[in-house]
Amino acid sequence: MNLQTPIDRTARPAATEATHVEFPEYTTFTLENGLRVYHVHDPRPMVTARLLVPGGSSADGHTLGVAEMLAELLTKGAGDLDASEFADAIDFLGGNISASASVDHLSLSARGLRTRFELVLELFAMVLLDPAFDEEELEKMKGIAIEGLIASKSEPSYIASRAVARLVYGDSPLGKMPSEETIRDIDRDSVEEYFDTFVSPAASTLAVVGDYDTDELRVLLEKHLGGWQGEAETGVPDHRFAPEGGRVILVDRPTSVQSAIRIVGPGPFPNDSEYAATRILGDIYGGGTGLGNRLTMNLRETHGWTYSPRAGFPANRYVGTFSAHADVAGEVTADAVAEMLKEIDLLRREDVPDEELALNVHSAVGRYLMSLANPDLTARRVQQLDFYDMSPDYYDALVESYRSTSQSEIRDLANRLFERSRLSIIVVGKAADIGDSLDRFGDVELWNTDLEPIRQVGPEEIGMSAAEIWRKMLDAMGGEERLRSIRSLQLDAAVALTMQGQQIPGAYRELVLHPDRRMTRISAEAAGQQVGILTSVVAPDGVELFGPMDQPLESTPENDSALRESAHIMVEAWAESLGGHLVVDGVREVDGQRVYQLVLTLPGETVVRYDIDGASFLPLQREVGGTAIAFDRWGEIGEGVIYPIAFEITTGELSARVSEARYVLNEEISEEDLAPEGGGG
Amino acid sequence: MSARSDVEIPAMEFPRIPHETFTLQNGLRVVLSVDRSAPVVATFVHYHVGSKNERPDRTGFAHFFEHLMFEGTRNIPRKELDRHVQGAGGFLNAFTSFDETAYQIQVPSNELRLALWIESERMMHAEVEEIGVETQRKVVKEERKSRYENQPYGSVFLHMARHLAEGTPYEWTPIGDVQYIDEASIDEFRAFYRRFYVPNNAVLAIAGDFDVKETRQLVEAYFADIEPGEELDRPEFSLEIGPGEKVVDIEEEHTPLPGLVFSYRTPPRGTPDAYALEFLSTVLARGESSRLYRTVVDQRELALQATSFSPTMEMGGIFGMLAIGRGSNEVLEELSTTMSEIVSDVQQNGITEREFLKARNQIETSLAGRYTSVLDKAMALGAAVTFDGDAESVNTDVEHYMAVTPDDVQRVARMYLTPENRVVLRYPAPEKEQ
Repeated sequence: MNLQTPIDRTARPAATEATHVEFPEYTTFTLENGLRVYHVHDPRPMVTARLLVPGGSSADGHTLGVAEMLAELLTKGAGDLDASEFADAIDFLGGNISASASVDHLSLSARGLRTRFELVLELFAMVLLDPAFDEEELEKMKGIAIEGLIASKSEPSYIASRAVARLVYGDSPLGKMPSEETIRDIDRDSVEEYFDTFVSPAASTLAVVGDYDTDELRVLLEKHLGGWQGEAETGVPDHRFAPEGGRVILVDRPTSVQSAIRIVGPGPFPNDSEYAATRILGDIYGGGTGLGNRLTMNLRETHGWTYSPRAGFPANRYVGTFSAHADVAGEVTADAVAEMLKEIDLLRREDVPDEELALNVHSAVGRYLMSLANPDLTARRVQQLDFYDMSPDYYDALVESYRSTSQSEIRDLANRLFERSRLSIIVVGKAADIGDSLDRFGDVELWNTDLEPIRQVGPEEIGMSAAEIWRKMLDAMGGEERLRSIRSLQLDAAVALTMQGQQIPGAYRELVLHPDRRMTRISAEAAGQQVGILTSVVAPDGVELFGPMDQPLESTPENDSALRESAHIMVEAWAESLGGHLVVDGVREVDGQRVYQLVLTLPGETVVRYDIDGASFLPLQREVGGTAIAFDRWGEIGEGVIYPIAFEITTGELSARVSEARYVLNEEISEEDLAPEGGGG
Repeated sequence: MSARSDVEIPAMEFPRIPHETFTLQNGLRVVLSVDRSAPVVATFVHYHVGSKNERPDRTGFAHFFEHLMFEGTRNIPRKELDRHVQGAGGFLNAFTSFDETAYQIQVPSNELRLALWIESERMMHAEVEEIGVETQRKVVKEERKSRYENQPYGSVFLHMARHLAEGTPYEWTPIGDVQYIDEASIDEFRAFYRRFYVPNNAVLAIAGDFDVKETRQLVEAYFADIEPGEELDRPEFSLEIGPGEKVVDIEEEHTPLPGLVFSYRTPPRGTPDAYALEFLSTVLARGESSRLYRTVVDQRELALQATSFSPTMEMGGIFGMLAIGRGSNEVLEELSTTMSEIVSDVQQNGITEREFLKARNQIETSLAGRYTSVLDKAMALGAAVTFDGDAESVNTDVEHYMAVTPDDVQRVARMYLTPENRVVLRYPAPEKEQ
């Protein structure tokens, strides 16, 4: 180097030649039981080991979710140690053992100091040789999984990811939506059967990072894992998937204000020769390099529609995909999709400017060089070379692959992968707002949030007027006369709240006094008492709303008017005399079952939407002013009236599952009862 | 099964971190540590200025400056700083404590010049302009709101400092009071920069893959021309142990469940008692089988969570135990009694051999894991030179940890965890009006 010439402070100093960019060395050997071991030497005092078992959720077979459950359960006791003794034993060593499952594999990882890693390894071996699969722990884990699923299902991003999985994996178990039932169906036998079938040394690999010499490590592993036996051929199904292109799917989530947009398409497998160049393409379009990729520049900087759009090429053993994400306000959904497609087309039509390509290549090379400092990552990569059947010199050649990526290569890739007929569009949002705006991208398929296709029935097929459907509904609810005889209603129920992904127990109360005095209150249990979460009070002199901790909430005139107009006791039975106007908005079929969509417009322009089941004629859902109630169960509540016993209320970020509703009809309700509780009323 | 019993575990040898230190004419101390295992290099610049150097009517200055230093310099336009580093595949960050403000950059080793250019520009040419000040005023206010004010129990640190360190410069925390940032003029900010962001108040640490000779030349080239500043007066003080108990009720609307904090004044960084206190903290609250967790969460079901912490600073330390109660506010009394009993038990009966071994195993694991990246090394070396005056303390502190005995743990519990030395923070959940 030459420092005779003074440094130039006015410009960024150029990078010097990168030194020793070779992929770190590693050794490979196979234990007597067939377990293939990769050893990355690391002089530091920590040792990590990771067992990679092929299969993962793709091998779930008939029992959906069993691989994930196995991962949860695997470290909850082994040998003669129960779950808490096992946790204490590993804590004592200052170590850690954990398991996880993904689409194509299951992994079991251990970590501990070199000086006592043998003791950690003993526990690790106990997990593989003699896992407890304790029934009680399994039930606990299932409970947690169900809570987690309920929380996830309230999130549009989760529904979107499941919809993507449906397009990618089709009718295979990987494309199915898990449910409370599928989790409940997992029993000890199915977990054990999965373990016995697929978790086998000869089918798996182990990556160890640590300060051993190879012979020493081999002896150590033979000693502790030698007794673990199993077949090389475990019968893991060899899937090959390709995302379905050319589809436009709108998942109707009536309470959404935002739309979750996903564009899905094909991508390379990790062992495709173009894998590296494709990653550069992904960075340019929507990668997380911080360099202002095209999606960010367009959707965020130019339009201000979303904070962090992203795109890339996720791949696993069974499928390579392209995936772009953006969450935008409902009203700009179609415009945002159009812009995302426009940026895709631009990459197909025009070469990426030299400077932009160079910047992205430089950043990718830099990130790769930095990643070489992480031996755990090195070990994972070594395992992946084998697992994904990649070229053994993939990493040795990676810097060169990035650097040699040319403009024409990027454009050629974009042309092939981004062909319009190979891309599908998924939007999770409120169909009533999005309407037909997505039609310009193709034939729109409507799905519900359980990912069941909804077929729109043509007007000629309906065969019934709005008034007739309404009449049948009133009959199903016990008849207009009986409904009209109700002068007061008190409803109390337990409620499970989901707020920001958290599950909280609480209570629900509804008081209604003829004709239209109404108080509804959702409260949560905190510090041993019920704390208000959302309360509304409708009285002749106005509407009052209270949020968390009974703090008054700002409302809008539209919202107030919607609350007031729809507050009438047994409003369905009074709709006509209130001057309401009924129309059939559509009829759809889900799984062969008809659902009538009726819109009731009240004189003050309040719109109440009903989804009415075509078989029972009981409502499935009611939505007014951004609050939706999905009815799960109906039953007799007295006076011959059939009313909802279990239902879920969704409004904004809050969802409340009401169960075991108890009604008291035609008892006196006082003014005080109807006053807002706690909130300064 | 041997993994279950208290087997003898061989003492481990911690790898030594190599280092060499030199000082430029202008007073900048530089510490280098070569590690050629991967093509990565990290730089850390420690400025020996934290919130304790602030005037009581200008709190939050040091932290505000941390933000300003991302705005740009004479030769690096606004917003370009991040772009340069991320474009190289690297990343950058910074933090401010009571005692220091530190800036980190990690890049592939062929981009070392980029890191040195940026850090020397910051030391030499930071542009303190209205637009940057205005932008960062908003950012800092948001940070204070989201991290300290709107977060349940986010104010624990602020209240602990206020009461434990009353009358000393540790009484306010780095986030400071935003009104002072609003009140301050641009000239005050410029004066702060000229006073504290000088080479003789800084340490540059570089760790990773580089050639020592070449790097010394580069450091000279980028930093030697920076003018030194005036000699600084450093605040000297200590936290008085045991001035009398204080119980403070903190009523915040967003407290979801009643919370209780026991906090105590302890000795500064690097003192023998500080090491013993870390053992005590581990025994009390690390892992589900620790004393505090087992008692208040598992067995008596008084709390949902329980934890402890023992940060040490240049002039003193803090020991804290925190529990988030279940049920109504009455649980605070019961928690308080139980936590006092747990402390008394250690004071009277000490800890068991197994607890001690387990704590030592856990601490050993943490110590072994702390210098895994070149960034961690650069940070520790820079801090060692800044606070201990010698980089070698990164290698010798292990001996201090390993010298701790079960008796030491009992002794420090008796000496510091006394009611007279305690500040109790109570976070009642808001009562519902009936």
